[in-house]
Amino acid sequence: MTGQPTDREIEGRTPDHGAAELRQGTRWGRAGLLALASFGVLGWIVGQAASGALAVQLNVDSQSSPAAFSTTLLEGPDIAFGAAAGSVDGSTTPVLRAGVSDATLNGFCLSQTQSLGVLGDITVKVTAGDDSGKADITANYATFDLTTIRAAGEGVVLGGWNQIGVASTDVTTIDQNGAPYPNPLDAPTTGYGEGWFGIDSDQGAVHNIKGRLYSAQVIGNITLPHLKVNLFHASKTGDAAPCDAAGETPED
Amino acid sequence: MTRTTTTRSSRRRQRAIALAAFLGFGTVLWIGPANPVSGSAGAAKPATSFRCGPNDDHRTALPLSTGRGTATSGTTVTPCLSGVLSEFSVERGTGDADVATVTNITKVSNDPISITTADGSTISGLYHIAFSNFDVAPDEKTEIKSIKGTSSSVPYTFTLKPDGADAPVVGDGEDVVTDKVVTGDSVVTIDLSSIDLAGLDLPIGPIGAVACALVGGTPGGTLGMDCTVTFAQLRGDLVTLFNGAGVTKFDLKSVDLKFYYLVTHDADGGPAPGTALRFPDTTIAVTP
Repeated sequence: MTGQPTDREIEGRTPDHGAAELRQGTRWGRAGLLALASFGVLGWIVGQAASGALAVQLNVDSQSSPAAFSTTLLEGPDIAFGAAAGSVDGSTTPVLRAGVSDATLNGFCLSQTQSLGVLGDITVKVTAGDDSGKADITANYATFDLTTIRAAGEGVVLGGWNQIGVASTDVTTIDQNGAPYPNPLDAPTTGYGEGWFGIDSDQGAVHNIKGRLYSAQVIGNITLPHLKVNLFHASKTGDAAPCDAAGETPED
Repeated sequence: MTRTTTTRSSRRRQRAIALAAFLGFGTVLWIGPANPVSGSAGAAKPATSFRCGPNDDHRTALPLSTGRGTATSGTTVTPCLSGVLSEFSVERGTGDADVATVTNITKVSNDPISITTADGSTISGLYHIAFSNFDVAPDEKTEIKSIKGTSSSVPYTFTLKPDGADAPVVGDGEDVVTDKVVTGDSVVTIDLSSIDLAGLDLPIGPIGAVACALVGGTPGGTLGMDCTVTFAQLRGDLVTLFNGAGVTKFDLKSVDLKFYYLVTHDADGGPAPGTALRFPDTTIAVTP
C-alpha cells in the first residue's frame, strides 16, 4: 500500500486520471526568490560601498531598450550636456550624454519592463534615497547616456559660465590631479569633436527629471541610502509603477 | 496515476529560462573599481583642457562684451566650437503680444567676423552680438534646436524645448550679458510702441518708420511700430541709438537667432551672477 503521494507525485498526475489539482509551469516564486537573492547580494555589495570607504564605479547598461529613470533633483558645481556616440546592442547611435561632477541627487529610480513570455511583463526596479527633499545620494561624478530627459517645474537651471555650441569634447566637469579632465563626456574625437554639440555650465541643477537612459556611471565615493532592488509584475501599480510613470513620460 | 518525468524536466527548463531571463535582464547593474577622479573642475573663466587641434590651435578667440556698444570687458574666451549651427527662436505671440524683454542689444563687431571650428574649418560672415538681461515671457514658444552641421557619420538633431511654462524662460538673469556668434540673417522684431519716441530727434515722417530706420530695420505692423531688424543691418547698440528716449527695456515681438556659440557672463567678464539660463518644463533630446 502506498503512502500519501508526495508533491512530486501529485505534480505528475494528468487530468485523465482524475488526479488532484495539477500544478504545471514554472515555480515563479522560487525563480523569483533566486533572482531577488542575486540582486539582494548586489545591493549588499553596493551598500558596503556606500559607506564611502571605497572608490567604486556603479554602472548601469540597458542595451535591449532604454530604461526609465527619474530623480527629483540632479545638481553639481560642474555640469555638461553633449551629443555623443553611444553603443546600443552593438550599433552606434547618437545619445544625449550628461556629466555632473560632485553629483548630488534627491532620490533615484531606475526601472525596465520586459515581456517574458508566459510570465507576462515583468518590471525590475532599482531605487535609492528617500525623496525627503534633501539631496541624499552623492558621488564624485555621474554620467548618463540618455535618449531624452524631461525636467518639470523649475526644469534646467544654469548659473555662472554657460557655453552653448562648444564641441562635446571641450566641456569640463571633473578634474584630475588639479587640472580639468579632458573630454570627460568621452565624446568622439574625430575632427577634435567637430559636429558634436555641447553645453557646458559652471553650476547646474536639473529638477524633476524623468528620462530614458541606455547607460549610467556613478563614480567615486558613492552614498546610496535606502537602496532597493525589486521585481514586480507590470500589472501592479503604486510602488511597482515604472520610474517614468504618472503620465509624465518624456515623450508626452 | 501517471508520473511524467517529461513534465518535471519541462518545468526545470522553464525555471532555468525564467531565472536566466531575470539575471540577464535588459538592465544590468554592476559595480567595479573606479578610476580616481576628483570633484568639480571649476575655473575663474571657462576652463579649457581638451587639445583642440594639433597645437590646440583650432580655438576661436572671442573678447566678451560689457553689454554696451563695442566695448569689451577685458576677458577673452577661447572655446573649441562644434561647428553646429543651432537656432534659438521665440515665436511671435498670440494676439500679437510681446514675447520677451531685453535691456540692450548690441552689435559688438560692426563688421562680420569669422570663427574656427574644431576640425580647423573657417566659417565667415557672422556677427558678434550681445543681449543684456533677456527674459522670455511665460507661455511663449521657445526652442533651441540644431539645424545644420551635426556629425556626418552619426547624424542627429539636438533639441531643448520648454513647453510654454508658467515661469519665464530666463535667457539672462539680472546683470547677465550673453554674447553670441550669429548669422547675418538672424532677426529680432522690436516693439517700438513701448518707447517714448517723442523724446528722440527724429526726421519728419511716419514715426514708426523713421524710428525703425534708426536701428537699420524694416517697419511693419500697426503704424509701422513693429521694427524687424537683421543683425547684418543692425546699426549698433539699441540703448545708444534710442538715447534720449529714456529707454530702460525693449519689448520684443519675436526672436530668431541662428547661432554657433553663446556664452553667459557678467558685464565685467566674470561668471554670471545667480541664474543665467533657466528652462522650465523642458525636454532635452538627441534623436537620430
